Amino acid sequence: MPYEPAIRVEELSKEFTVILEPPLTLQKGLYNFVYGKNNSLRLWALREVNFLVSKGEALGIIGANASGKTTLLRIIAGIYQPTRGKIFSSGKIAVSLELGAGFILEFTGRENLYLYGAIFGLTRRDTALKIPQIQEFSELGDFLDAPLRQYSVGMRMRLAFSFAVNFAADILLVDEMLAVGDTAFRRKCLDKLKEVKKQGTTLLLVSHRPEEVAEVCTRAIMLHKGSIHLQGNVSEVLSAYESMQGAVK
Amino acid sequence: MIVDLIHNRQLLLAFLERGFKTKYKNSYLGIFWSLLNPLANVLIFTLVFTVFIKINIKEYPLFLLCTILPWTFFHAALTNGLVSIVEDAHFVKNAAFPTAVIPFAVVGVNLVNFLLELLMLMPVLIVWGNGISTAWIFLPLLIFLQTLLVAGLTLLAAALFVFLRDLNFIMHLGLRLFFYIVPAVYTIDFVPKHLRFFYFLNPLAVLIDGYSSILMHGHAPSLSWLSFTTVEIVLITYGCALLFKKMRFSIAERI
Repeated sequence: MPYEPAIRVEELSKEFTVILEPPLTLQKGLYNFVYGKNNSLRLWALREVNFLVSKGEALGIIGANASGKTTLLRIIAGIYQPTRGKIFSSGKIAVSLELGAGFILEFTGRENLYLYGAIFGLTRRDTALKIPQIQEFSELGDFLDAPLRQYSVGMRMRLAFSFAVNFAADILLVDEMLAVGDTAFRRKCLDKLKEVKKQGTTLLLVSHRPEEVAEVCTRAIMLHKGSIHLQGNVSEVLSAYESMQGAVK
Repeated sequence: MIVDLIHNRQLLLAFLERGFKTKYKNSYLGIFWSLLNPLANVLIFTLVFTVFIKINIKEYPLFLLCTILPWTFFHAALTNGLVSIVEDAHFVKNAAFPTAVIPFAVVGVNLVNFLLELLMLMPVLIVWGNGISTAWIFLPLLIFLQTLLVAGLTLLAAALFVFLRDLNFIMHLGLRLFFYIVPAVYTIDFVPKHLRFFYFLNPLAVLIDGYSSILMHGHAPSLSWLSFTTVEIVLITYGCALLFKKMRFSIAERI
């Protein structure tokens, strides 16, 4: 059966210029220029990454911290541009990365949802149609019309995740979103992800928790210092990851 | 990029809505608070230039109102727009959307503010000034040109600030000085004739002179200078847009 790739990553490399003593100012820039100094570092966050994700597949992305997982997601989402290589993706992409960070505390949950909807390309009407689902999933009830200032951190994260997961995109990229929330809510999120997968959404899940990756994903890739160390079936990759983590100790 | 913008008008509207709500949500008389700044300026300059230094301009406070309102639009949009992208770093870093919307929304909010203030100025002009005349037909053109200029400069400034974080000091100082080379607290008559040509090379000078011309005296602005300024503004805005395009993708990485 031919699988049309939903995402194709070819020889993807990403280089960053990191400023050693941020922030860069005009003053510092001129000083560096005049004295021939350089306070920046160029490093490769991703090196020649190659993989394919079929439509409706769930791929797990695991790796140690700073292995390039979030960078990879950001490039696929279109937030960063590749330095070398290409990315092909088909369909609408919804991203859930540090999502709650942009909430405006003076606004109500509902108003924030409208704003987030607009950012992800939904019209006000589309967002309005989704709000009942989101409200129900997040279990926030009437709190939706209270200013975000009154929410606990857990509530805010629940709102953020409920939004991302009810988005009905063709491709959903999730970055360690499941690191928050209590066990019951996390269970709900995992079930929802599986449901979303059944509906045909392609899923890319970055996580530090092997059990969650194992539950939702069929394949996985392991990133190490920007390149793919291993790619394949979820259980293989996870056991390799675990032994790597164990070896460090 | 214009096509991009039309496509994303929902997004622009959402950011505009956010801008308005943030500005006016907590204060019932929000719009009046934003009038306070220009009015305070009018007061101070009237004091200095009619009581201390007796400058010979008729109906000085009224003149000031006509020039300070457009200046405030320019100044507020630029200073607020400068930091707008950096302030919304969390959005830029975590979602893919046209970053230009952020500074444009700032310009939009300030434009609406300016228009409301003009509306409030109209009765004042009718009662104390020359009222409404046919010259007012040029007003939308001036407003459009100014908006274009402000949008271009704000866009570029917002992007540059991401890379050079001391730009705000430079900008505040620059604007402070720039205020004095536009005919805001004095009329163009005070500029020596041989310098007038160079003076009018500054598009904002032409625009502000245009505003006072129309609103105070009911005269249409000089069409030759207006056409020249139009060309200047189109070029400047185009240049800013091109530069912004080049920096666009690096913004998310540096922020």
